Amino acid sequence: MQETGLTKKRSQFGFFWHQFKKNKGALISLIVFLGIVLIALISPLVWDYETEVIGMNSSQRLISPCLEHPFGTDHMGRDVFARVCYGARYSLVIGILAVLISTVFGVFLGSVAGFYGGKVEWIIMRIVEMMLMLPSLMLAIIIVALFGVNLSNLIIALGVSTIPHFARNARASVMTVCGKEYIEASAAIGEPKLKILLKHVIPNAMSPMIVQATTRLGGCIVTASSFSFLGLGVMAPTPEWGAMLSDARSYMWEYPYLVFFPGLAIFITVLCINLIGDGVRDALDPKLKR
Amino acid sequence: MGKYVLKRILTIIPMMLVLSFLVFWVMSLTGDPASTLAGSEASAEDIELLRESMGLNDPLIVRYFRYLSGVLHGDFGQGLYGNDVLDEFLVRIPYTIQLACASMFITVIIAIPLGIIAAVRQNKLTDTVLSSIAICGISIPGFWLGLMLIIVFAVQLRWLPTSGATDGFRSIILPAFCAGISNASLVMRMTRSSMIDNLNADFLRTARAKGVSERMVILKHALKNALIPIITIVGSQFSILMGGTVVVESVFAWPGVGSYLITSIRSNDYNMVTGFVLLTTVFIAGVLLVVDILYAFVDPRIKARYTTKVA
Repeated sequence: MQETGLTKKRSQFGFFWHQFKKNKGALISLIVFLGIVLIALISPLVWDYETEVIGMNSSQRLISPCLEHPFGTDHMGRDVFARVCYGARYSLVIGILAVLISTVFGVFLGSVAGFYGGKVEWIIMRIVEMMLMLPSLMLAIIIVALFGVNLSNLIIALGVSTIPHFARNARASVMTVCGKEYIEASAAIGEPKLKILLKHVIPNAMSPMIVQATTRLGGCIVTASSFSFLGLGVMAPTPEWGAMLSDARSYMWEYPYLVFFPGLAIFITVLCINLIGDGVRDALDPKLKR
Repeated sequence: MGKYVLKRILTIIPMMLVLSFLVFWVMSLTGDPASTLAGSEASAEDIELLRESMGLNDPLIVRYFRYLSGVLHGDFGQGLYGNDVLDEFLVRIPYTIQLACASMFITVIIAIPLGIIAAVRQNKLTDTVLSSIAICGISIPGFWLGLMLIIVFAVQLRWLPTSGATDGFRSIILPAFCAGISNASLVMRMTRSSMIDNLNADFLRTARAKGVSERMVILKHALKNALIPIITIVGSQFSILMGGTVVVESVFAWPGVGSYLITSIRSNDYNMVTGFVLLTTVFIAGVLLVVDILYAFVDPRIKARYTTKVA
């Protein structure tokens, strides 16, 4: 990273892309992932939400996968393929927003703690440690229980519960950067502290954060769907993957395909994200590559 | 070392107090236990009377200290149906511990050896296959895997029970596997990279140069040094595992803490949720403390650093 930190922004990305491309698994995953994003974007144009995605269609109940319904239909006669495609919207939005919350707040708290030190650091790190004592899933459960079960609370719960992990990593990363000579140099020429933090420290401490954010995205999507599965997240009839699995559970003995496809969608999405994450990690820090 | 242990315990106590207050405060915001208890047909006066008799009209801090003094006497109050919170917890925690330990066992006996094999065969076919399995293991949602395994092993093949904990050893296999899969994959990746670091280290070249057999080089010299970060990960994963069992317990109707916690949240059982969250946190804090202390014993560097600092 040191060499790239000094060059222009575009070449920094160029360098990153050059490294990333070499990892075939990550490249293929990126293509598949973009495909999933595309499906999420166009599905409202293909299917009508009210009638085809959540509406009841009693003449079409529980049809096994066939040409017309590639993933079959569920107990309400809804096309599972349409619902799985539509579900990508929920999982991606929940995952991305939750990770955004935890990255922004975590990086803020961690870098303030790592950069300013002293009492501020002590207070922030005690709070972080305390939050870490609660398993993040339990923390999320408390938040959902507190504010009620719905989509936005689920996002907040997932985001807040991973803030401490980000804060801890950000602090460590910022502290490493703070020890570098160029930070000392900026301080020596009399740049204000806040400017040093925003302009020099955080940009150079970002790569572990980017890697962590990518990895967390996968984790968040799984956790979000497990919350919906437990009835603590998105509720039926919304076509969220976890909620679909929870719905399909009572029919899984006779119609196993109902639980197979939504779960497979979660699995493939998260697998792609994790492979991309590995690729990003290797590209951002070639030293870590093995 | 005695001082180290004491210091760790002493830092945990104030944190537990603050945490317990936060949990208590947050839970007190979630709703009105009196109206839940009184039911939907109760009048406003009835609810008010009940609030008064339950002491819910007192200031938060008074309620907290009353609760805390109860807790310190082993009284966590009662749930909605008059059942004692501590009793319910003590009945269920052994099941959760069983499940967590069983998945930990799977992690240790499967993931660490596989990680070593992958590291030794780095960039060969074995490594590629094992690493691919590991990344799939991290990505697969445990509850979906659980449902799929129930369909295959319990419904189609009828080898294992579908749910519950009544069938002894056979009933824990599927839940333990589902709860442990992502952990095991993580530990495997960790073992692999930690081993690779050590396999390229100078002291291994020395060991080989002086004629130590390859087997001994890997198992004794490399593994011994690679184990330190692995132990940390395994220890800290325990808390994640305890949280993760919530979902798996619900899939397999495993009668542990997690599935009961979910039921309590759904029925707005205020006391039960507060008590369960607190007790689980104390339990996990205890486990992490033990791991920390063990870690200090395993890693001579920490021990040395600490003894010189104290002495």
